[in-house]
Amino acid sequence: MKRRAWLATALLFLLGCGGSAKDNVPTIRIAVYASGPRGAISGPFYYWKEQWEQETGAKLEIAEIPFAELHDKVFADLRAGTARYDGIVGPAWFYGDYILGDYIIPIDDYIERGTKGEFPFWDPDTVVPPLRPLHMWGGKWYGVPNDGDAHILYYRKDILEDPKWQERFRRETGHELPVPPQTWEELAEVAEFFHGKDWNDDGEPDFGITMHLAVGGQGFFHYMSLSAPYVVLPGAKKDRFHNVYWLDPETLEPLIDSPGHQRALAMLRRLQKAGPPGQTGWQLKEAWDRFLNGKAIFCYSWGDVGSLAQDTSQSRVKGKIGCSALPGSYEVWDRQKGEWVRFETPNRVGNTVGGSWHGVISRFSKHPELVYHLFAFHAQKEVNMFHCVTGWTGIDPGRTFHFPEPYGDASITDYVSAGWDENDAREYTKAYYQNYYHAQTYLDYLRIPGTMEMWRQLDRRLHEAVVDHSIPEAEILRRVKEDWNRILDRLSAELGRERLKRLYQQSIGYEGGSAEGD
Amino acid sequence: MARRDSQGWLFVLPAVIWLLAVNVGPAVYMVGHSFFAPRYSEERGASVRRWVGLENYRRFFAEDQLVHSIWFTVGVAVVSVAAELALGLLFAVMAWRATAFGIRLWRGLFAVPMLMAPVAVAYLATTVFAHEVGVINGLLHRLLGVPFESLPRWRSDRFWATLAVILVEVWQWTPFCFIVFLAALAAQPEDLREAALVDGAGEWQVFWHVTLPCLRPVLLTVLLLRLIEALKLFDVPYGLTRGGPGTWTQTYSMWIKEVAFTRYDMGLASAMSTMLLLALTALGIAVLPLLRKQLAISEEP
Repeated sequence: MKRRAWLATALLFLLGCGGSAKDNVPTIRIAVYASGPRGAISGPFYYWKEQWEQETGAKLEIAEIPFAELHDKVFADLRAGTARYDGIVGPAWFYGDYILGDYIIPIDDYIERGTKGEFPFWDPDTVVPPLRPLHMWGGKWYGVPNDGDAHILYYRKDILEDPKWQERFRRETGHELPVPPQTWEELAEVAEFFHGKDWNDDGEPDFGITMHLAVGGQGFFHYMSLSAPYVVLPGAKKDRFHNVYWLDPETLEPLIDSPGHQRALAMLRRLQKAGPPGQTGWQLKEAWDRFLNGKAIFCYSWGDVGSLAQDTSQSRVKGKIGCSALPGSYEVWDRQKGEWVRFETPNRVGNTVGGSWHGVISRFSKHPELVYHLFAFHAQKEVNMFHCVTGWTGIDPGRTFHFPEPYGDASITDYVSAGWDENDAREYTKAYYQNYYHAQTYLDYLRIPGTMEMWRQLDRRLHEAVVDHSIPEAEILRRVKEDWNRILDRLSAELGRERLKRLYQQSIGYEGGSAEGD
Repeated sequence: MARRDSQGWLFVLPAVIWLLAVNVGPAVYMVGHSFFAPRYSEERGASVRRWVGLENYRRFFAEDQLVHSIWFTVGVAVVSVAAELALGLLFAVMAWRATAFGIRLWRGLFAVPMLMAPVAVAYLATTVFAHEVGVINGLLHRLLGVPFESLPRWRSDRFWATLAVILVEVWQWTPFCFIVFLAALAAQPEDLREAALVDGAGEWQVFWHVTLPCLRPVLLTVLLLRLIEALKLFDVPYGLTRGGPGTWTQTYSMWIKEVAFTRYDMGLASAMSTMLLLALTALGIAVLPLLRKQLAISEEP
């Protein structure tokens, strides 16, 4: 009897392991940045899951992975070829590793078939020009647009435009309060003026600026967008000395220790002093909360801040914010001449820092067409616009239809009917438009193999810089350069220096030449 | 005799197979892996493994994080294990003869931290050590009026971050020491203690000259187990400080994980793991004779 019971149990187990009717339903699993069913990037996939499953008859599984583990988990899977994830909603800095390992597939054919109604349609021309290359490699499309990341400046318009504070600023500094600040020096001066004063009348001293500077808190993006105007020398085309930020495209020498970077790091430290002392241990949310709670004058970050500001359950600043493209610098370091170049108007560098989180299709997926269908569904105009105006989605402007008149074909009522304050919406979209279309030059996006490792080292060294001001800027940056050289040497040993150089040149759109010969 | 021998081998065979498959096999594979590195092959269009001899070990010694991560790991291990042993012993002695109401429940509750997953403890600890809204700083600010700018920066100051890691370790693993010591105390022959008391020794003398020497083998065992575990410390700094400020609280194991899964430099990661394995084996070899000696002493009639 006992033996029979065992046999029955074993049979049941085997049946359980075997196929079932459920297995006939094609199932795809996507890896996505973890922030829950109502959180940034992952949230929209939950929101539309049921509708998409009904439309396709397929099943969608969402594998959420925390930011700090996303790279390691995704690439462990791709390298092993275990095909746990059919699609990856990841950041654009993964491309170097994707392309090198040939882990993702191009989608030009699917885009073409989308125009014939085989897939949900999205138009590649609607992706703003600075973001397009982040979805492409070697002239082919690999990524389906979803989120457009860039830093803009948020400030408390109600306070900076208050005649009382303007008068006080004039008395203390002897000049007008710049609204919004045009350079980082101006911004620092304003932040320092307001820091420690109770300008929101809550009985406690408030802060000038708030930043997320913890290790692993994505604080290095603050540094990238801040340093760009000191470092990226505008020019007619991308050559060895113009419009480059990361590495010398001819030698792969890291440019991180230049005097431009040293000045930028000193500025980061100056700004840090005009912010809460605890921000050296803060992640994104903690830093944003200080601005949303009305405790900081400035915050420069992604579009999430603007849309979260509209949610009055967590924001006290709805209708009070102003936005602009990031400040610039009158002086830029010229590597070729080895001197500072002074401009009449500030050098403003457009940025696409952040992930611009979007979907790519794994080469190992058994259902690539379904994965594309899912990503294309999210990229459609109506769906993507809904994400852009809805705070919790984490999807920021990056498509032409996100911009209301006079910049695009959207209407400001699209924003207002989604709960936005009209002034905030105008400020927000104007700032993004300025960033994408009105900059003198752009900050390169690093997309070579080893990018994540290089940024992790930068992140750590920057943290050393903000927690210990006794270390000179030059020394911190020398350490970063040393770290990066070690990484590049190792990658060169594995891939060959020339191949790595070609990958870098391809990724930034460098076609050779230098100002010397021009 | 031969039959008895072959029977004996038959009995231990499953254990030997298990050991070879799960421990020895992977260890040999890891050591072997430490002599290879990936190199790009134009032919295959992908990276392939190539023999590089001792190159990974040369790179290991050239890594600038080597010295700091070893010192940090050893320092935290020594301090936290010492504190765990001292506190565990103190609490065990206090609870040994206690007869207060609810003492059993208290003993049970005391074991709870040990039952939690270390990574969960680390994430919980982030709420305890948060700068302005954390439990500790909240109390310091509200009860003692410490201004925000003077509050300890638990996750962004070298001293406080180190202390936070040690405190969490001690909080989680003191109960393990407590339970083992309590069991050892309960198993001690009562007549030894009574004889000493009859001979006129005081409580302190009895503890120092009778109880503690009897506990020595258990103390050494717990010390060895805890040191080996602490030298592999990963979860707490990974969840609590992410290795920061900078790379200050990055332990040796965190470093291995990063080399293996961020750089995907399996050759170097294998070399690092091999070095850790050798260090822990050396520690075991150093402590085991002491342990044997103590066991022999305690078993003497």
